Amino acid sequence: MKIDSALLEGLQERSRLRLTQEERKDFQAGAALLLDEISRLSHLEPEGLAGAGSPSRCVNVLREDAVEPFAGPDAILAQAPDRGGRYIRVPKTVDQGGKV
Amino acid sequence: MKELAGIGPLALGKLIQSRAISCVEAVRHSLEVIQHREPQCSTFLEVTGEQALAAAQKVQKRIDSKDERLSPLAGVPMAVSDSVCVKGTATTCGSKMLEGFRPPYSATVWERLQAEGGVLLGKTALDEFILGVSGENCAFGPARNPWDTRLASEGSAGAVSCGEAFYAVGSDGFGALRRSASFCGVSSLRPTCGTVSRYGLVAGTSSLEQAGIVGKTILDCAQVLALIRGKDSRDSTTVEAPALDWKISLRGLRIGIPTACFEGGLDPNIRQAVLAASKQLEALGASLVPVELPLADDLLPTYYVVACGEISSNLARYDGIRYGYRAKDVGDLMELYRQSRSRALGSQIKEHILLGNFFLSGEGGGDYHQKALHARELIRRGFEDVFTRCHMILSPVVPTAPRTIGEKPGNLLELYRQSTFTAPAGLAGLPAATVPCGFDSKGIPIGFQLTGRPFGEGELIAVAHGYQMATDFHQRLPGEVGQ
Repeated sequence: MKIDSALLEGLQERSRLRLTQEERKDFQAGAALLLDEISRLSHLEPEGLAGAGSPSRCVNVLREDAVEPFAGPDAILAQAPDRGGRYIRVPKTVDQGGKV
Repeated sequence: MKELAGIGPLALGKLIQSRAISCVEAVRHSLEVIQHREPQCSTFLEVTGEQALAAAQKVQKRIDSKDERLSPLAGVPMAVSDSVCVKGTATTCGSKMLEGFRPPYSATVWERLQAEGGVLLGKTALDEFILGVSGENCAFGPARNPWDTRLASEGSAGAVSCGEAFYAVGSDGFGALRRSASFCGVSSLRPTCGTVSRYGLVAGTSSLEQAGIVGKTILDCAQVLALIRGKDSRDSTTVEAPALDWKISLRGLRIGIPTACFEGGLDPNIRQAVLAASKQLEALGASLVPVELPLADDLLPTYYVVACGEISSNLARYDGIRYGYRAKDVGDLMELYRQSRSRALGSQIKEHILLGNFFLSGEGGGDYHQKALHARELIRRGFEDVFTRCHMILSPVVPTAPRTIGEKPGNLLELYRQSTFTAPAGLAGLPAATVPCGFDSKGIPIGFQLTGRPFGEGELIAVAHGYQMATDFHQRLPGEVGQ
């Protein structure tokens, strides 16, 4: 198990990240050591037992998926940082940047 | 108001209830300590002094009108870590990605404390998105350990240790809160998964995270837990936990000692202090039984794969569009995502996001995420089996002494190894308590950890309290030892 340069390129693309040259070097060095440790899990055979995504014993209970009248648009609009009439005003997706 | 130094939140609450001191005087005392300590300790990211004084006046009016809904901690100044959303107050979770974010709602834990008369002093520093060894990885600079300011600490533990806040509530994710509490000579409590609402806690590693409480003593933590626990309709993973009762005799309680944890690379000072604590507990009436942790060799890899997967998923929401940092001067949407995330997230966070995507994708020759989920279930069942032989497990909190800030660059493996003893509670959703039990050769506090069975907080509190009644490590203040 190894993260080579080609795989790292793909991971950056998927993660929507771009590492600097120095970050890339540090990451690959640290990941190599870490993945050696993680490879201890290779002896496990997951078949036959459901994995645990959460330690909670809660069982999800879904309510009926029925259409109901919604009476709270004003409450939602009131929480928006900015609004214009009945709409939530948002910054342009690509703009001059900075804090929002 | 020097006489308040070293007293606990319950004692201060009694003074406030008896009108020996007013809420405003208590807050002024804390603000004075903060003003004195912050230049060296930097435990707070933001001090909300004016709001605290205004809140204290309101609580005082409720006390004066004999409002019966107030708790014994009403009017006691406290802090929350910057992972806890407080409506209208900056909440960064230690990341430049969230700089300037003011949530339009409050976390349930803070709402419950506020309803009971909690007075918030401000937001404390923490590792970026709760991911780090013990506070060094905060984007706005690390909080310092009051026992030795060359060491980092989560701000909540530091603030309680040096008397700025009388208790604090934060997030226990990678275990940094418990590790920091241990290094700062204070107590901490992590409740069973589902006991306390996570609504309004910034999400990092969701299934591993719980609210964490820091106090001088474990009884301080217990009192806070009693206020914040309970089902919350806004967090579907919460449950109505059994009643919290810590009036339990130590006689008849069996404490599991995972002998393998005391071998290998464990720091000799830590080994000696924690084993001495186990002997003290035995002298108090508990019995010690040797146990083996389930899938001991697989615990850390499992924890890490799950944590990385959850970090990468949770932090995908920070894209520069909806809130938080937005990169300037970019040409298209994808570049906006990439630049915003690359510039605002710290290196350690970026590394864990990449690893998380690696594990989730199954690339590179192994379906390690599936294997980790499988191991997690086996580990959870394994702990059920261990708890048929004992009521709780005693271990160190950390394997090694803390390193000084900037001593060497933190790498992926360091965080991995420091999670050795804090990982099991997160993986299996178990409660854990840490209490101080000694000092290393440099005068830095050492703690031990008790990990309990689900909803066994009362037993942990009883044992930790019994230990603190027989020892005085929790009463020492920074400056008395070492330096």
